[in-house]
Amino acid sequence: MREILVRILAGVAVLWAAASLAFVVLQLLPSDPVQVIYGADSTVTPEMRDRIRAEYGLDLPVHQQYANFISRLVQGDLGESYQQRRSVVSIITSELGSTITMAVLAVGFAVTLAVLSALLTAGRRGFWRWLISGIELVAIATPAFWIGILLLTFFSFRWAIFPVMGDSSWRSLVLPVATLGLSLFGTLSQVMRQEMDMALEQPFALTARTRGLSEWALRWRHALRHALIPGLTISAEMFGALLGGAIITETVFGRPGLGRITLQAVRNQDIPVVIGVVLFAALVFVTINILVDLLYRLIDPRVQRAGA
Amino acid sequence: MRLGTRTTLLLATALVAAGSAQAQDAPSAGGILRVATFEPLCLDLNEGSSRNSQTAMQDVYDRLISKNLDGTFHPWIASAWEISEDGLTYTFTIRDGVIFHDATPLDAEAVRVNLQRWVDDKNAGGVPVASVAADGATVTLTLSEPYSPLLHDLSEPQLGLVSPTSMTEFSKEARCEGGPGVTAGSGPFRVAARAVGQSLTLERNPDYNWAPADAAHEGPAYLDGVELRFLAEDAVRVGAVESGQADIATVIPAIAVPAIEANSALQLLRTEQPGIPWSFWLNQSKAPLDDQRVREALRIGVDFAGLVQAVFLGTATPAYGAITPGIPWAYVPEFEGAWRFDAAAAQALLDEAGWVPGADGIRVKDGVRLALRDVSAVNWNNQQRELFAQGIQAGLQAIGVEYTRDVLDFASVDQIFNNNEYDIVDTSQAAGDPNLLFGAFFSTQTWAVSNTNWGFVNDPALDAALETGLHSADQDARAAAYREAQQIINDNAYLLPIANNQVLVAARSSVNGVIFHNSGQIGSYHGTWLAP
Repeated sequence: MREILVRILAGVAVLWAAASLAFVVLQLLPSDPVQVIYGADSTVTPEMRDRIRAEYGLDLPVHQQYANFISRLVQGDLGESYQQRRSVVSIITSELGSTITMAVLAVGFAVTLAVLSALLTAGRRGFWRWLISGIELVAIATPAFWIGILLLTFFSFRWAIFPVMGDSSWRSLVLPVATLGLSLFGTLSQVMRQEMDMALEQPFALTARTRGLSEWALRWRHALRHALIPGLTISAEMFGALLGGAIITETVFGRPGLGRITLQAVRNQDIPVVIGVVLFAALVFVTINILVDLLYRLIDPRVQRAGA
Repeated sequence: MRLGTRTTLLLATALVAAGSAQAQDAPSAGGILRVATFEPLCLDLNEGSSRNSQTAMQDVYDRLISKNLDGTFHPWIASAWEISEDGLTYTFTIRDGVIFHDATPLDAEAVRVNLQRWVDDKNAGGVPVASVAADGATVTLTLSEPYSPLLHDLSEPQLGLVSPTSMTEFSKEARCEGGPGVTAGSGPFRVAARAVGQSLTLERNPDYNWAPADAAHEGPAYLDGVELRFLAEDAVRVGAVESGQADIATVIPAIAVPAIEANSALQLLRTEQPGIPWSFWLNQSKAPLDDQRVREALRIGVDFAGLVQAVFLGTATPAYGAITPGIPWAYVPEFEGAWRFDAAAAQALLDEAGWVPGADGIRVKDGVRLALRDVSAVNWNNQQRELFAQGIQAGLQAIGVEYTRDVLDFASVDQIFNNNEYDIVDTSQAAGDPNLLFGAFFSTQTWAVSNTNWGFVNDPALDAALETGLHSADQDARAAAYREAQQIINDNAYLLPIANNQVLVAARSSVNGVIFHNSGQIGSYHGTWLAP
């Protein structure tokens, strides 16, 4: 329990560091936020410039701005978007549902495929292993953008199975999830198979076989556990990265989500939104790391004993 | 090189022909029009306005006045208007019986509130407004000096009239996000649903009975609704309309044009982009472009006309003036072919200016290399310009000029402009009135005052012509003034115009009555209908 508390405190420190770093970078940016707030379509008089600076607290001394920034953060206030004039928290929360749905489904898809392919092909040679390794390599080497366009071209434009317009049911999720999932699957599957290959050559595997355990049971009960540890680490990292937004997939399929928001904000230097997304991503990574540590204990009793 | 005008004429004829062919069938009501396009960020155009939001919301918010594609003005929410002799006082009579989507009456007071908000929040976009007043059924707008594009400005989607009730009842945050009940204009369609990042659904306003006087028909729109689906990827928008999932796809890339034209289920609609062509603004505040010979050498040192054909594949014509054919009354066809590619002459000009080839082939003068930095913003860029710039780079290299192009986010280019760290700015500017030239070339209108005289052009004769264009109420006098302004710009090589681009839209053959707005974007769907 004490260990977890320490981890949480460390997490808070990471968040504070991320926030401070973001603030420093913001100060170092050469551009004038007023021009960003106003856009290029209108003339800004000096009086209007002053009014905007006051409205956003940009006229205060730097240390004052930092104090305000941190105290607002503690209260869960990430400020207001320069571009959308909405609060950053409401922007992130309104996009979050769609982002989580995509991330969960895509990681689930990738993990299922990877476990299946590892169980089927580890420690074996022949056509299937050759074929599945080939698919993994292609999935890793092909940019998500291109996978998405190819899937759309065949399954939406040519055969009209999964529409890209006028449908918001589960059908509209299939292609984006497949696109995201495929690009995760390649790496995950390779790592898990390698671990299983190694596990199957360990002395315990030989012992189990001499005990008369079937090949499937050996794979399923023993070798898979070995592969799950790195698998879990990679999946958790992927999931964390996906919560930061799947920029390309969201752009290709025109879906809402944090990735699209981030891209828009970076392009337009909508600083409050950029900082908000950075902090949110930091929060997600800290949380996921703590959760993964807990999960290790469930999967691998050795970790628990070492920790005790 | 006279091809430009002829193409324009042919296009105009084609559009008219298409219109008359459609007229044989009576418009049928009903149906949802599915449009694959870009997302508007903010649904209240006063809070945050972009071309995407203006195009998406033009059917939700009505304007005081309608401007036809031929440049004439017609009554809309203002049933009549009067302009005082000195050009300073505009009196608008507000049409009776108009109501907003939230049942608030659209009366003179509502118009005044909208105009006052534009003055207070947006500095009236630079229009010299002295006061706005409402009295009975009239609204009076007083200027501090004459400003002839006022009617044009009032006809733009950006000045769409918003219900004053929604202004007071909802925060700007809520109005920006928008939605049914919140977003309240008086237009032929109202907002039915918004899924941020995905789609915006509009439904017919059944009470609509105040279409502009130049509209194709009176009464409510034919369509039951319009679904705007946001697909930012070119290939996906094209695929959506080709596969019949969308009825209309906007912003078609040149590369997709042949396939669309060959597809009998599709029609390609095109119009000339009005405004300033895609051009190089040449920074004359410092060496090397302060030397007119160097500017002229750039103009003839690269085969721009050949590149236009090769890169834009027939969707653009070479530009020779500061105004595109999209504003017919200010376009000067006589400029076409005013200069032609001549590398030898360009080299001679550079020699004469004292730039001699150095060791690596790049010219040098007083120890300084002839290196030009072009800066553009991500939002102004597209793949074709990217490709085109590579051609320019190769062409300039051949005459001993080093050319680099930085495409950056808006805040970074803002900073580079403020610090005067560029030689060239490349972009195009879209608007239906040639007064655009004032912001781009008048001596005081530099980036420091949020305008676009990136070249730091400071020419009293040009200033005088632009001022005449701004103040004169007479259309012929304005046309003459802008012609003179363009002549001066060409004579001194203040701007290097490159390409007059067309706006391309793909539609299913079943879609009828699609029009363009004079901003060059797709126009109102009030008269659009789907063949059963």
